[in-house]
Amino acid sequence: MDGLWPTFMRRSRSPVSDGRTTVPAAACAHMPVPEKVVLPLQDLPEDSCEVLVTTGEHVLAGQQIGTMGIRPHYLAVHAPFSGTVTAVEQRIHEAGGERHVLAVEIAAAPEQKSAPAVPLSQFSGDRLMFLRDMGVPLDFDALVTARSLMVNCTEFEPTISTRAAIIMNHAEAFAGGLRHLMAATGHTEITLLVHAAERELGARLKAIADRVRGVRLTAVARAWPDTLQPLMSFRQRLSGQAAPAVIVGPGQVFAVYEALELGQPYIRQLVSIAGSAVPAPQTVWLHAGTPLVEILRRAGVSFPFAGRVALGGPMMGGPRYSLEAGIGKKVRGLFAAAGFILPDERKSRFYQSCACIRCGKCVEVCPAGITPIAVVEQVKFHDLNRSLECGLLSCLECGLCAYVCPSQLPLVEIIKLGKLQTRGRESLLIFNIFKTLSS
Amino acid sequence: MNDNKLIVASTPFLRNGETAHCLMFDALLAALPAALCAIYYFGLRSLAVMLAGMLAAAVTEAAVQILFKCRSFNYRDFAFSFFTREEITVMDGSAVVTGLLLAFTLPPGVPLWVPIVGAVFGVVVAKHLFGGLGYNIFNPALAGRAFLLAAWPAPMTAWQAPVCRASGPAIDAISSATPLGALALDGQTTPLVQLLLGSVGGSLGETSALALMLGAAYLLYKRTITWHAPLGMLGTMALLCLALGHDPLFHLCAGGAMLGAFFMATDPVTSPLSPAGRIIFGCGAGIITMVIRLYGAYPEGVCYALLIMNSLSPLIDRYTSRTVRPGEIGVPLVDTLTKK
Ligand code: SF4
Ligand code: SF4
Repeated sequence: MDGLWPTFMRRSRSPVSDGRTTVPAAACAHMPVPEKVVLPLQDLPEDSCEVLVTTGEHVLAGQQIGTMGIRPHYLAVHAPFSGTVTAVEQRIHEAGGERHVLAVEIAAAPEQKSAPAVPLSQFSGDRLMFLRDMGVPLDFDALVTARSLMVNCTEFEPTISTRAAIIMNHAEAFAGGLRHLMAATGHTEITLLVHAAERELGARLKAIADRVRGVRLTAVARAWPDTLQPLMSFRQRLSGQAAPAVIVGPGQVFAVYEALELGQPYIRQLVSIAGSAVPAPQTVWLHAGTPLVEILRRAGVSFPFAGRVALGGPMMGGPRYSLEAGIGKKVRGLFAAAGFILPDERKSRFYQSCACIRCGKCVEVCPAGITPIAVVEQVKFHDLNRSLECGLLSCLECGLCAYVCPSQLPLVEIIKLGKLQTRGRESLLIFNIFKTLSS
Repeated sequence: MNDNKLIVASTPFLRNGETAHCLMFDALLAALPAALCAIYYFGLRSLAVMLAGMLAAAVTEAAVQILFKCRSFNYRDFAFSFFTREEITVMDGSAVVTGLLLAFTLPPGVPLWVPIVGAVFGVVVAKHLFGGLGYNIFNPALAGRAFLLAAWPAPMTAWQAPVCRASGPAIDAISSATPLGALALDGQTTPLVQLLLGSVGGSLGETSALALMLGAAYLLYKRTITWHAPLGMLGTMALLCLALGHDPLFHLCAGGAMLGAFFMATDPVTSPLSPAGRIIFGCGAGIITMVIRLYGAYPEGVCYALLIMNSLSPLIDRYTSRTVRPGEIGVPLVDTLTKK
């Protein structure tokens, strides 16, 4: 009968509305070298790619093994450790769907050796080209065309804290990355966005903004979802007008610093692992391409227990049905929930969905400013033109409307279905934030 | 290798735990101060009226759902079916709220069949004939009251003076006029203190403005209601009073204005979705209320004003919900920041 007696405290409007200061005290640990990694070279089966290794070949840590896409629109992929290439074949891609894409599987060698770092001074192209060569997953086209550059230091997902970890533990590198990013893209100003309630993080960013020329700090009242950047790219493609801003994350800024300053390719990434099936939630550095199943095992997840796994966090994650694929470059979080519904997820008859009672809570919380229930009604009527008019494509898939809905309606699920029906995958932002090479 | 099966469910996996049931429970809790005031001023009789309304509404809703909605209802195993069938949603409490709010709009001395008939009408005709919770156009409590007033005007206008139970048991109810009735008949105004405390004649739940405001404060804190519709309604009424040379405080505190603004105009189902729509809804209700009060045949007009606005709220929704031109995508978060 849970759900029968309401609490006297008011319900939150977003899982992070109060701001968090869950900043890890010490630098994040590295996960030990996995047995093997799987590095996809395509996002979609029809994408072009280039393979530079063959099966049986020995590779060094940081050695380039191929590119996603082809010049000039490409992104290099590097081996995260030294080992032997065991397969170059079609594998399931982690960004979802039944798609099989070309991937390189590398088994770890007992002895680790790094390829020599290539500094920028020995490179013939410009800095952005160098970043492509170092495999830093940025939205390169938008970086050049957008009218302003923003770094989103807010964290929308309640279980992810990689941004705070980078800023608090690597402030110097972060500041250096900001300088390099301005130099590489030609922007003279960077706006850092911080949640107004996160004071500790705000103070740290203030110090950086005071020190680095051209960096401004802006406090925002709510966390910004990661899907904003794919949405703006999508809008730019539809309308042909330059986007007002391009948004990058602190993790990417850190990678820019490592690439341009130290000549290190993008072979590790910071990922938060959390969820009701994870005994000890943690934020760790992972080798690029570590298979999801391996990551979860090492985090202590036991398998018949974990049933729902999503890339990202519990609000906007991309649900998985296979764990064999390697982790993609843009993934910052891994969420594993129990396979059955736990009591804290409050499954009772009061939590079954019922008719919309038109309370308007979804309208209040929607960061896209649309009326989610109006869109959902039009999608249900199969009236796609009306659903576009109601703002179907403006939806950020942030999940807040379903989070607050007292009728427990699957609003986001229906909106995503409507997007698939109207325009297909290119407008499905959840899919796009995990795509490595943004088109 | 992948021998474990995964469940593919769409995110978000998190909910803030609010349910329709919680909202209804909040409304009941917020109505408690007003109910206690009614019992204090009008005696235990008013408790009987409220209980009759609530019980009748709940039983009617359960009966309607068992008879017409739930195909698979097993009468032999009544209790099990009652508690497990999804179609039977009477436990969400919306009918109980309807019954209580209906009783709030009745004179204290009505015969007990009056709240029962009103609740049955409200639940069957105004709610379930339209499809049940979420689909009704008119507020069931108000529809029930409008029906009662049209069909049995005599018991519906037999007001009585409040009996302060502290000063000894009431022997006979003394009939008296409501503050608005007194104003319409012989131009008497009632002192504001009495209106705030509720020691005046009138419907059960509407007399004490303070108790209603206390409940409203709770609802606003819990975000069960938003401020838009009440502010629109009360603000418009105050402005109209000022413009036409009446005492705004008197009109806000007398009659059903507070009850209507905080408990009826904020009914989620029958009011518009968007904040702008709610303000328009409130303003419209305020204007109609004042027009009926000052120029109409009835001394009080909140009930009809809200019913009229109920019928307009789909239209208001249609013109206030944000629309996007085809081929355009709005990104307000970024646009507001980059425009500055
Ligand atoms: S939050 Fe849910 S119940 Fe409320 S208006 Fe939106 S869809 Fe309807
Ligand atoms: S409609 Fe889209 S953008 Fe708005 S709250 Fe729902 S998921 Fe978020």
